[in-house]
Amino acid sequence: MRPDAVRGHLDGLILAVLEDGPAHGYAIIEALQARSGGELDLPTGTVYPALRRLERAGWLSGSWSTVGGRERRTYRLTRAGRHALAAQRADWRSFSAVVDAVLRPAAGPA
Amino acid sequence: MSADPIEVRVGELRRALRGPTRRKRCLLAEARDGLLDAAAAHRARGADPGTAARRAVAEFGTVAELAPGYQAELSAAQGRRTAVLAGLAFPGMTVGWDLLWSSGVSWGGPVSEQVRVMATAQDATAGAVAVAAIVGLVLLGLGARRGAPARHAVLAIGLLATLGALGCGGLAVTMNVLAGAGAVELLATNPTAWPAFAVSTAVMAVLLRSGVRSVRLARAG
Repeated sequence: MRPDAVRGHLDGLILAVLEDGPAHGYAIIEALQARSGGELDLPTGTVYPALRRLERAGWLSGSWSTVGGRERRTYRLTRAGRHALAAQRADWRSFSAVVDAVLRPAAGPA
Repeated sequence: MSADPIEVRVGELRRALRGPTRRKRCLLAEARDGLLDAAAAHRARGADPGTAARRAVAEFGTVAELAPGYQAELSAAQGRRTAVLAGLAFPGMTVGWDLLWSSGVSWGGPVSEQVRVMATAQDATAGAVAVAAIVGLVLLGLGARRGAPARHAVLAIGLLATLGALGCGGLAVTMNVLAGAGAVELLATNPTAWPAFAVSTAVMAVLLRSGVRSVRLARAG
């Protein structure tokens, strides 16, 4: 998948991964790759500034904690983040329904 | 022995970035953690340490791909810092000086109309910049939601803080020069005036430096 196509939706993807519970950067990347069946081909380094931006947006809350013996920055969804995720899902559903309808081959006599 | 590819990549990224030191360090520490985790995952899948590190670095992305995103966050952090500083310092200074004047400290004689107008202009500038700083903070937050570049908000905040500090500082100096003998008498008879002037100057200098940093980072992209 082209990285450009993914980048626009990265926010929603990150929020969705965190819906299940708090996670640190690499765990989020692994979850993104696992859930997309390896199709997401984004440079993994781009996730970290995205996480900070989502934190600035008030959708994530980040903190340093000790995980597996190392200091890691962990993120969790805020309430505003959950609302944003719901909104992104709704947007995606209506968007893909529209594109689907337009792209569908016109039914008609063969 | 060749250098650790992970440290090399993190070092390259560090050199490509400018911004608040602690935030930069924090962000790069997080990135390094991620690289170490990725290398560990490759080792768990059977790769030797060298190959695992190189794969992790390859997946991570090149400095050209990554630097803009990281720089944007550092610039936003700097802008936030300036906005908070301006939002606190300008009202703080206005209130502080109001308290000083109302406690009986004053220029020797009657105040000229010119000085009075300047004092009003100074208060107005301070108020306007403080409000604009808060608006800037809100815009930074909203921009973060839309994934919009923070550059414009950071530039605006930086310019406001810089011009606000220069403006208020300039007006203060001019007022004291115009008050002439009154200003000298003020300082001679009121010991509290000295630290007030010193603190004001220091605060304006800090604001100026912060504003200029924000402008520079905004222009760096």
